[in-house]
Parts: sequence; C-alpha cells; structure tokens
Amino acid sequence: MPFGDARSQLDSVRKQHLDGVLLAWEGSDSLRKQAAANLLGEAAFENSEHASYLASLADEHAELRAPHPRVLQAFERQGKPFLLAGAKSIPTGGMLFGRAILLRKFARYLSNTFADHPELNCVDEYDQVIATLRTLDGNDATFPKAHLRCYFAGIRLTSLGRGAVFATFVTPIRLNESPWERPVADAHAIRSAIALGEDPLGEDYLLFTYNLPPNRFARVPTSASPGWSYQRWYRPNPNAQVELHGWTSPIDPGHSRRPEVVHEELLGATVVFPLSVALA
Amino acid sequence: MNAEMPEGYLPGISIIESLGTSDLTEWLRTELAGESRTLSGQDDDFPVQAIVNHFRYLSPTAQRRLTDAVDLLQVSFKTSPANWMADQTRNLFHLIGELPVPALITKLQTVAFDTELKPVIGSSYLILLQAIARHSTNTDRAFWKSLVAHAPQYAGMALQVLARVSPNDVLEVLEQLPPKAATAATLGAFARALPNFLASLEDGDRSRAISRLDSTRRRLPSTVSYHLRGALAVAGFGISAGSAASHGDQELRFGRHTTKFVESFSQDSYVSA
Repeated sequence: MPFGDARSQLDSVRKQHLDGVLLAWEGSDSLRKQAAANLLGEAAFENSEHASYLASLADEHAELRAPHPRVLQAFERQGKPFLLAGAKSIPTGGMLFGRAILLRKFARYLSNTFADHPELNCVDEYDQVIATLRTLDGNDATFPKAHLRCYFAGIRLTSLGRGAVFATFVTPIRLNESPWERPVADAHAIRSAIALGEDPLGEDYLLFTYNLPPNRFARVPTSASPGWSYQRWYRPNPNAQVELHGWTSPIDPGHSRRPEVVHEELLGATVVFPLSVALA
Repeated sequence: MNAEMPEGYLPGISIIESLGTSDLTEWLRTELAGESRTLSGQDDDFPVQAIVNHFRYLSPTAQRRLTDAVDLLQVSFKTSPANWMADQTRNLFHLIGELPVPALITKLQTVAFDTELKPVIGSSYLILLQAIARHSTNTDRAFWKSLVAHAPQYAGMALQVLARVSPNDVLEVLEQLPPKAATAATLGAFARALPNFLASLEDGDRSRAISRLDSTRRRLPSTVSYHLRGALAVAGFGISAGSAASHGDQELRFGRHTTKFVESFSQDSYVSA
C-alpha cells in the first residue's frame, strides 16, 4: 500500500499528527529529512500493517519531534513489529544470497559461539580469530584441515545478523550463482555498493554466501526495516511491487546498485563455503 | 567534524562528550546491558561494535573518561557480580579487549584467577581471557604460563599469546604441557598460530624451533600430535612421506620447494587424521 493510501486510512487526529511530524522532519537535519522522504516514497507495502505502522508513528508524534536519541528509540520501538512486514519477495528456492559483515564484528560473534560451545574445542585469542577468518578466504570446507574444522563448525552456529537481515543476490536471478564475484572487490567498494554507511571506513569485510531455509521468506524491505540510523542510507524502491525486491543506494555513485531483500535472523547453518574476504 | 566520520555518529558523539565520568559510567552500564541504544549502527552492532565505531572520533578527554568508566565498571563487576547480567558482563569484557586500556590487564588477571568469580563468569571466561590477551606483552608471560596449570582447557590461548610475546617460553611450555593440557584443542590452537610464529623468527632460530617442535610432536600421543604435524606442513615444513609411514624418526624438509609435497601430505594424511 502506498504511503498516501495508508495515510488516508488514519483518522483525522492521527493524520494531523503524522503530517506534523513529517513537516517538522522535512525542515530538520538530513536524517529526519531522509526519514520523511522514505515514508512519503514508500510504496512497497501491500498489507494493512503499514497503516498500523504509520498510526503508531503518529501516536508518538510528540516523542518523534524530540531531539535525538529519543527519536531513535521511539522510531525503532514503533518499527520493530514491522521490520519484516513488507511484501513477500522473489521466490528463494535454489537462490544464493549474500551478506557483508565487518570481519572484526563477526570475529566477536564467532568468539561468543566458541565460548558457548566448548565442544568445538576452540579457545583462540581474538586476534587469532581475526587472522584465521582471513585465511578462510577461498578455503573450501569439503576437506577442512583439522585445525580449521572448529571454524567451519562455529560459523554454522553463528548468527548472520540481527533484526531485519538485509541480503543481496544476483539479478537477473540465476540459481546457485554467488552474489560475490572473484576477484573479490575491495572493502571500500563493498561498503559503498551495499550502502553500509554507518560502518567505519578502512575495515575488512567477510562476504557470506548462503541459502534461505525452506521455511524462511524474503521480504521487500520497507522504511521500518533499516531502523533509524540507516534511514540515511535507505531508499524505497518505487517499482517494488513489480520487481519484488529493493535496491541499495550506493554511497559512491561510481559503484553499481545491488538488489536487496530482508529476512528473519538465522544461523550460518546454510552458509555455502568458501567465504570471501574484502580487504580494506 | 572529522572528515571521515559518518554523519550519523555526531549525535552519539555529542552525548558521550557531554557526560562526566559518573554519568558516562551509568550510560555505559545501560548500553552494555542492551537496554538503551543511543548510538548509530545496525542491529548487530549493538552494543560493542557501535561503541568502538564512535570511540575513535571522541576527543582525547572524552576517550579518557570513557576508559575511566570501563575501569569503574570492571570494579563494579568484581565487587558485585550478582548485579551483572551474563550478556552485560560478556559485553564489558569484549569492550575492554577493544579499547586502549592496558592498565586494566593486571586487574583482569586477578579476576581470571579468582575462584569465586570464575563460576559467575561462566562461559564468558573465554572472552575475559581474550581481553587480557589483546593487551598482553612480554611482561605478562608469567600469567599465561601459570594459566596452563590453572585452567588447562585454555592452554591453547596461552600458547598463542606466548608465541607472540615470548617465543622462548612458548616452546618450553609446549614441551612441558601437563597431560590435562595436552589435548587436540590445545594443539589445534597452537597450530593456527604456528605460521605467524615461525615467520616471526630469524632463520637460525626457526630451524631450532622446528627441531624442538618435531621432538615435542614425537612425544605427544598421536591423537593430538597430528595437529602439530599438519600445521608444520601447512606452514611449509613437511615430513617426508616415506619415513613418516615407516619410521618414528622423520626427516624434516624446509622451504617453499616442499610445498607441492606438503599439499599432497596434507590431503593424504593430515586431513583424515
């Protein structure tokens, strides 16, 4: 449901509140302006939940007008139930999805897995976790070296993200084709193409390729999916109802946009090795 | 604003800059508990990655206040561990590992050896040791040597740290591993650190180290020694296939010219071990 249609479903008081919020945001800093633009440009929703989301935003109009960080907390609290409320996306059977995660961040989450699963017998120091993850670039898991087995097992037990997990893929859709090309692009190109603008510059990325389990669906991302700080980097796809996915908005215009969807949190059980590392 | 700083960091930076140490400590305690999100980032950045991302753009004064707050929180944990949730404690240890707070090392070492705190720390003990390891230097080698006896299941990390900060000690500790520490986990951890360890040595020292490693390998049970043998192979120091198959006294080959042989050896023997 387009934003305008959803807005028209609100009662007059809520409509007035919401318009007040958008008006205030349009004259405000770039993040609020972008959030307002995203809401106004939203056309991907096909269910009535979008109207509920708008209503919840309107109900919180006073808080949303308050200075950061209360805006952030209110916006994200309102958006949480609607992170994955977008339209069902492209069929996912046989497709490979891709996700870029800061290597240092993933090393921390993998360390948590090692801590919680002592049966993996991996007690590496953090810098060794980082170093070993780098060596997995292009390393097939079919016949893993003995001292690397705990890494392949650990990755399968580690979450690939939280909240609405954004993923990219190849268009036009080709089954079993990795979204990551070789030779691997550098970290700057990945950060720009995926629009990971809140990540620090100059850090390596791990590039994961994975299947979605049969019971998981991909959804078209909506303005609720990226959360508050990523409103700056999010753009609604005006053709989402036809294309059934969103597009990234590259930070550097020299990089090509990439198709994107969102899905629920999932562990790395369906990761397809080898991993790739995009170096800074 | 720093030219490289993402614009979205500015509100969070402003908040941290505006808080004194006491307020900052409470803010940090709440952030580490995941109860508040005042910084910028993706869902899975919170809380540690988001704090680390912002830290580098703080003024030196604010950075010092934040590290002071971390110090106060580790004291708080040490004195009242019951007030800390498991995830909050783990996040604190992660953060200590990420921030430049080497002065905390000695305090954390006492936490690691505190028999009353250890059960409270539970599975986060690995993360605590990681935090200590990140700031360890040669002066901390006694801690890591004693850890092998104190917590043998973490001997692998001790060997990794010693290989980095005290190459002489690591070989001695490896040669004298107590039976409880001589496990596949310990040798696997050392195997992962071995390429960098050998690369850090001068040629003569490297030859002597390899010789000692091979002697150690032959003394270890075969159920764990395969890690060492395989790691030597991966690092480019193979063992001749013929003698390995028939004799206990294997011949070591050094250098890149053995790579092809080593790969074959790895495929045939090491991988299936």
